[in-house]
Amino acid sequence: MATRAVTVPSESALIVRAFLSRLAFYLFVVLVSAFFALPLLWLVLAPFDRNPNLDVKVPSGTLQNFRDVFHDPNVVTSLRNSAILAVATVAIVVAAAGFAAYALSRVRIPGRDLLLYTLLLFSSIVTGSAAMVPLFLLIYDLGLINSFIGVILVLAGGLLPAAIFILKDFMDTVPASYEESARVFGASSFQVLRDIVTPVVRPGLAVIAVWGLVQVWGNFLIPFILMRSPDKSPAAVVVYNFYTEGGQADLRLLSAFSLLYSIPVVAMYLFVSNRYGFRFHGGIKR
Amino acid sequence: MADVRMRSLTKVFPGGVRAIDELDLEIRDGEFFALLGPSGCGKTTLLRTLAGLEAATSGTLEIGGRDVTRLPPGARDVAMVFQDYALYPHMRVDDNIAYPLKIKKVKKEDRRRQAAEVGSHLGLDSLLLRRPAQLSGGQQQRVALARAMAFRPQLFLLDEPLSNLDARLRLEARSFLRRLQTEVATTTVYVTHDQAEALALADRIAVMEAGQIRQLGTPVEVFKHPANLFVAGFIGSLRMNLLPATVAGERLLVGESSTPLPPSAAGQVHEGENVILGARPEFCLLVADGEDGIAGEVTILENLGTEYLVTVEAGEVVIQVTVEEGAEPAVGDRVRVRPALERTLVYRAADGNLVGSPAPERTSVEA
Repeated sequence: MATRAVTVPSESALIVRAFLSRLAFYLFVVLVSAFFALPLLWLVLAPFDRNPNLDVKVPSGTLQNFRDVFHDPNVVTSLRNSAILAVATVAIVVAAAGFAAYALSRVRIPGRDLLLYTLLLFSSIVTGSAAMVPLFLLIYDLGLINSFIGVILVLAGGLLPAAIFILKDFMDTVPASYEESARVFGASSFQVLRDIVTPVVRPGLAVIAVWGLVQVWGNFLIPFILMRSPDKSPAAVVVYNFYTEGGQADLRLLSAFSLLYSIPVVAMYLFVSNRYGFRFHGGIKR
Repeated sequence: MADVRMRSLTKVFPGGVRAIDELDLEIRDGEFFALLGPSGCGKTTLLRTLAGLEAATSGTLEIGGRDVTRLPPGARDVAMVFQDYALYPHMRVDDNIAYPLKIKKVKKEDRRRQAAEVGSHLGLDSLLLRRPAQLSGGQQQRVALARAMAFRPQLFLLDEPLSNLDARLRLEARSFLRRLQTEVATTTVYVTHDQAEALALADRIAVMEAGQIRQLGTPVEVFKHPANLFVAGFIGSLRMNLLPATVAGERLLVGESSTPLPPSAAGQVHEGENVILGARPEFCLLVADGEDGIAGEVTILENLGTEYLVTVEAGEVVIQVTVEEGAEPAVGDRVRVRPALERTLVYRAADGNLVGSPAPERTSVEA
């Protein structure tokens, strides 16, 4: 009896142990959350403070920072430039990746999967820093330095491989019988693509579009290298220019601009989440 | 309205599989024609070749007197109903039905009106504004049929349209399909692996195996006189008894027993020839031990509802016979099975062809 009492902890000891392990778990979760939440909290609070520093604190409550930031002529243009780059790039990526993914999904060619995985591998290289010098030389030789077209082409080229890869999966889920029935009724390839395939893979196209917009919106390196004049620079590059005369980062302008800059991305997230509920697994349930 | 003619139609897939092998076949105008066979026999490939979804490797194909062998699918004036119905999930039912008309460039109001007409004909009035995902299997099937009908083709191609329905609904849909085809009177080619469906629906059946037609005929012909052992084994809800036998005078020796030589085979077989005796369980009689028949012991008793399927074994010989409920024997009983003489068929063991009936219609072309 006595030995059993030692090996089996009493009920109250078990409860205490469960409570402590719960407590430790929540403590850990809180710490991790705080680590990620604090910068976001700063982003939301600092723009409304007259003298923001790197602390998270209750703001003094002012809109002066936003007035100042809009006073800078580059701010509105840069947001506009970002929008132009994002929309144009995404238009190219969605259209080109759509056609390419459809073809890759439907046509049986030897080494297709190898091609796809090579593409995916390249996507991280093309826009990565490793290719910066050749890319710069290429765009320079094409005479596209300091032009939207140059930046858009490079960005689109960087996004295309991954976009094709993702979209091909969506295309694969469209049953061949959908297209065949339309073809028997006399639909042309273009009609099949427009009337049947595109609507069915629309969630996939939306994924690509939103992902592409976010990628371009946040891309700093490529426009920074390929754009020369400040009036053509997108927001991601302009945010780099907020310094005080003393060479210190101007946190008042920087924080206000950062908030403005992040609004479209958050809005996009909410839109997609609301519209598609993040059921991004493609295909159609029957 | 159109007839269909195939001459030496062949489809060889890359890799060398001959899915359709030198097929000669004529399907008459207005006929409900079934292509029946086990999976992999080439029936679906033949249907897809008719639709133009597969290009024939050689041979010719005419629909309504027009050579369509090399025409793309859209130019053949045929409509196909797919096994999975292939309804467009993003379109409402009426838009699905009207889609072929949209391709034909019919104006929006006109095609909506026509879709509603066809839809109401198939009892879809209340469903026109729904999406396919909101319909039951039977309703989806009718939408697929309505879409094919709205196209007003010369030829309907149906690829196992009933196989996705549950058993009860399938019977209902079968009758519905038969009535519809009679009304519309459009030539229809129907692919199925279910012999009961083919027997119930078709005006004529082509039983296929390995890309070739093994028998062509009306359901009655195919059921009563299967031209060869393949068809004999394939047609019928209960498998036909196929027993190796030897000719001995006016009788056939089956195992230890014997049974009279059917009149249809009299004079067509020679003494001592090895043959296969074919007798459907429904056309056999269970008689008491001591009477004329194939002797054996009852080993299995299966209740089929209105009757019993009795399996009788005698050494190597296994023969099945149906018995009315209430008259079934007990397992272990010594009994004899007597095949009904008029319904007993004899096949040559050498080539598996039916003895004593007109040469199989196999690939004959009718005028």
